[in-house]
Amino acid sequence: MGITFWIASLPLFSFLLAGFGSLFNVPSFKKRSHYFGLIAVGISLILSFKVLLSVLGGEVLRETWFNWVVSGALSANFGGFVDSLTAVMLVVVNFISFLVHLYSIGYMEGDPGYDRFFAYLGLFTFSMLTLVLSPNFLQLFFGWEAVGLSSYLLIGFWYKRKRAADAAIKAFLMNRVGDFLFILGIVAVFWLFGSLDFDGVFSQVSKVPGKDLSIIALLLLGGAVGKSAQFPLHTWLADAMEGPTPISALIHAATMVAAGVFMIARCWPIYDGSSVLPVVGVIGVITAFGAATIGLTQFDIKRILAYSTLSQLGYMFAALGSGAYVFAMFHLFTHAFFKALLFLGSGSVIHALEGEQDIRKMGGLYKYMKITTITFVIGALALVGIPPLAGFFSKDKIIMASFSNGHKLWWLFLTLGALLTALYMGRLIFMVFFGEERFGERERRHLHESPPVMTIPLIVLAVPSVLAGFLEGWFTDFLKRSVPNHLLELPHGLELTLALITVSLALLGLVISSLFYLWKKISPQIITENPLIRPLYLVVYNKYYFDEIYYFLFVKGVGFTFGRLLSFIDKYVIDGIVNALAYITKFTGEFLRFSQTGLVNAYVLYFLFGVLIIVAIIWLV
Amino acid sequence: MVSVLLLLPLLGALVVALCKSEERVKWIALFTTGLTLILSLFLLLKFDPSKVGFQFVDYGSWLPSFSIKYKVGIDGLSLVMVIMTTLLTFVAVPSAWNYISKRRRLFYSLLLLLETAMIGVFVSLDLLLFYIFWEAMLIPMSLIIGIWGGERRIYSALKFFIYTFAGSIFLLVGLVVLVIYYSNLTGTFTFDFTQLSSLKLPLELQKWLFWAFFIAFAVKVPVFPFHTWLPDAHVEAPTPGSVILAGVLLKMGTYGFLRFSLPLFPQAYKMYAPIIFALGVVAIVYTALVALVQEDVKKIVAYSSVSHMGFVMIGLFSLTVQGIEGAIFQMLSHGLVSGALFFVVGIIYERLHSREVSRMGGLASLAPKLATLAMLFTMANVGLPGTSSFIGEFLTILGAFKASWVVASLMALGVIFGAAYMLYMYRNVFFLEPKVLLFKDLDLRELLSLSLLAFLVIWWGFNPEFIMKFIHAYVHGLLGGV
Repeated sequence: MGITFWIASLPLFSFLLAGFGSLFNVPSFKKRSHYFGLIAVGISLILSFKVLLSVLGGEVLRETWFNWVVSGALSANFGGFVDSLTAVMLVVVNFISFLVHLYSIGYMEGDPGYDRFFAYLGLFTFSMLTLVLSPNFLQLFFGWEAVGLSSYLLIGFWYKRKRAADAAIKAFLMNRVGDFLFILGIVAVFWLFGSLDFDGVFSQVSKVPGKDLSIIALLLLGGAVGKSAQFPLHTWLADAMEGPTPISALIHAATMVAAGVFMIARCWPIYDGSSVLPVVGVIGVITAFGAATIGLTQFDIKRILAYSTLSQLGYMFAALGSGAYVFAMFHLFTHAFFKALLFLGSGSVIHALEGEQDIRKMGGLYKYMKITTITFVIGALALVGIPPLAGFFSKDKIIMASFSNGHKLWWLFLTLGALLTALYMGRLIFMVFFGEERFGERERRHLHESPPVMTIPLIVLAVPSVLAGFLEGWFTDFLKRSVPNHLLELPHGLELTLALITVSLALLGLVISSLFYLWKKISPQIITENPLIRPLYLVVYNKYYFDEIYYFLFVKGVGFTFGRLLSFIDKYVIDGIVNALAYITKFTGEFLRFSQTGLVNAYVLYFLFGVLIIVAIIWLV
Repeated sequence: MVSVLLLLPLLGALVVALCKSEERVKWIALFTTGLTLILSLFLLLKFDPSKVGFQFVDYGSWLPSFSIKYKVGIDGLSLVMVIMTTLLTFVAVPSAWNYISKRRRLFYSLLLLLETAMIGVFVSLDLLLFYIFWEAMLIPMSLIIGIWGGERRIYSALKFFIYTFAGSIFLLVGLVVLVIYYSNLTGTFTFDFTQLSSLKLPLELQKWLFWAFFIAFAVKVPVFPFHTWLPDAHVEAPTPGSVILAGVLLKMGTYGFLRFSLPLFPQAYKMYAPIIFALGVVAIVYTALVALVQEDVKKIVAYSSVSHMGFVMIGLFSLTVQGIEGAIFQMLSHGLVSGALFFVVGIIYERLHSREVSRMGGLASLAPKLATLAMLFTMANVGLPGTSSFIGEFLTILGAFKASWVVASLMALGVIFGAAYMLYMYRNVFFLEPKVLLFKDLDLRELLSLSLLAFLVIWWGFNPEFIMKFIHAYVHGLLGGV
């Protein structure tokens, strides 16, 4: 079994214990359900560090837990495969998960589903750990789907609300659209390579023609686009905000949306051998820029952050697309910290305002919650990419890589995206924490800083949000042992200029947003009410109408209208024929029954007719 | 030993029929089915999985003037089918516990008779014996639907009986042609399957017989477009009837394809595979969409069965190791999952006296145990990895891909629709605000029966080899001969 087995399965035990307590109403379990999670994930985190250390020492772990599917030439095990890529992911996932557990003790206090929540957290962590540990495509798919299940359960956690229940279904189904391609990709891998093990597949990549690799890469990409909520399968992520806020932190930082990026990095030999990378990049750029524009127009604090996640994942995809796998992973790494921080911070705000999420009803919160404000601002600045905070290093590298690898148009949009990021984050900070207070008297009386169990995770997360950028050199070298980083060197002067452009745009964005929302020199209405811009604004505000189009085409169209039509056909045509046959038989029988008169002279008559006919036939032939 | 397995439920049926107390019969039935289950597990233990061919063969003269023998035995395929039968009959008893409140003696006698007939189908090695069991099954099942069913029970029972019976006539004709052909060729008149299966039939005859057998089996599976008796039968059948119907009876058809069509008519089987693929794909996608708009919970699960049997059919005709092994595993897994889902629906019906989705809602907050187990079975039906259904679905898709990537893609598309109707159903039944004030959660009997199925779904999801090891040799032998 080995150490990796325990890393993955400890959170599963937490799920089972807390779930048991929840299901059978065990009072001694109920109040203590968070201990299961804290202890399990805590130990798992320590073990992850231990594994990280041994991988740092040059080891690569290959453990087999148990045999899973054997059929013909197919054989797949459950096991743990840890190279530097997985080692980093293990630490990040467990670290974020541990803090989310801690934070949830405060956030979920008093919720009737308290223990159920911790059970799901355990399941979620287990799923993601199994995913990153996979030594083969089948276990990868297991983790992939298990993550989907956990997110479904958590998004629909408050299942009595129709919106939560619907958002959960939406997340699951949109992921399934991606998975439909993903599973075909896995099947294709098996028939092309004769194996599903990463080692076996990747070692044979050079023998397979590029066209076949491209098909596989595209199919796998479908899965990644679904899970990482990239254009055009991005619409579920914003709705996923119906789940409790700590879950958003977990989904957005480490456990779910990161899976797509991880998968592509893991399968880099296939992508390198294919011609699909530009597609990955274009999807990333579209998402990075498009989601940022939407983020600028939303009013729900969590939705703004959700669109920012979409956008940042777009940056990661852009990095993958330009071949800079390590930079994609580095942005995933830094982003995990500050995005978890931002979500937990927004949770702290929502908690203080008793569920209010509309930033138009906030403002001036700095006075009431200093720790939340300071840590949130740190997270925001890290996201915006202000040096020397973490996001600056990772995002700047991605923007530069797209330039140096020859994708000038990507570079343009990613740089403009940096400006938009600063604009929407500036808007968010100024509207929530500064300026006039726009909430009611009742809220003000309840307003308070969150308890330490919630603020400590914020403080802990603020540290890597500031410092993680300095790990760049170490991180890059470490990851290069597992994944390559294709990068054409730029002249030093040009590199500096590019960085300056990005940073100054980010600063400009903050200044502009402060003019709008802090100093109120310009009213945003000038833009939104302008007759020329308003139609465009409405399009962006309505998220480019993707939800409406998808709903019309797929849910209403293919699903329900077409389904009703088929149901009608089934009932009246197919079954109609069956029943018609039965009735014909019955009527024929009833008709012929009249011949059975019971009168002897009638039968004699039939007999004579019969004889006549036979004679006639014989005579004619 | 196989004969004991066959006789045990029959004996139980007799005891039940003669028992004086209406109350005690369910315990007798539970005891008998339990004992049969244990005996079948014993068989599992004694079975040598490395051998190809039949084991535990019992043999006896029956109607010597027609060369009809009593001959039973099991190979890997029969073994897992028998296990599924004994298991689901054992679970059907607690599902009937309160649901069947009138004429219990008759009900449990019929259920036990049905078990004998079902086991008989899977273990018969004489074609006429097989045919007798095949038809004998219809009688208790139609009576169960017709006596304990819902409002339109007579219509449904009749439809079920006539439809499947009409299909089976073709099987009988086919069998007779086969036997006569063999006797003309060799001079021996026999119904012995092992002897007949050594025949190399000319292609022209293979074609005709393939379609004759096809009609009988396709109605039973059911293959699209012969499926319309199934929703009617399920909706009207009492819970235990549905459990057996979906769990075991549907597999008789796919069992027939595997046991007879493939070894007897290999060339025709291969030739017509594209037609089966087309029907299978239509079944998967079409019935999934139909399921999406149904208002009756039982209809949703019934259509879902048709959809899932599409995976089995395609797997069987993919003629790859993975496809066939996946199909067999899917037969088993679908038995567990659909049996469990019908059990769940029955539990809800007992409490709400309705099957309309619109009358339900919010049950998760009232009955968390039921909701949790139902979630597990829902996810299993969706084919989530970690459940037994995933193994079956994945392997059949894998096998189909080898034959045709278009077919595999359309099957995978079915995976999306499958998730859609199951999740909407789950939402409408268990999520949202409760529409009723009181709803009793599972009692111990229900909890234990469902937990048993849940345990198996998960266990076989992680350790499919427990079952698969019994069919590796069988499938290998089967494909070696093609």
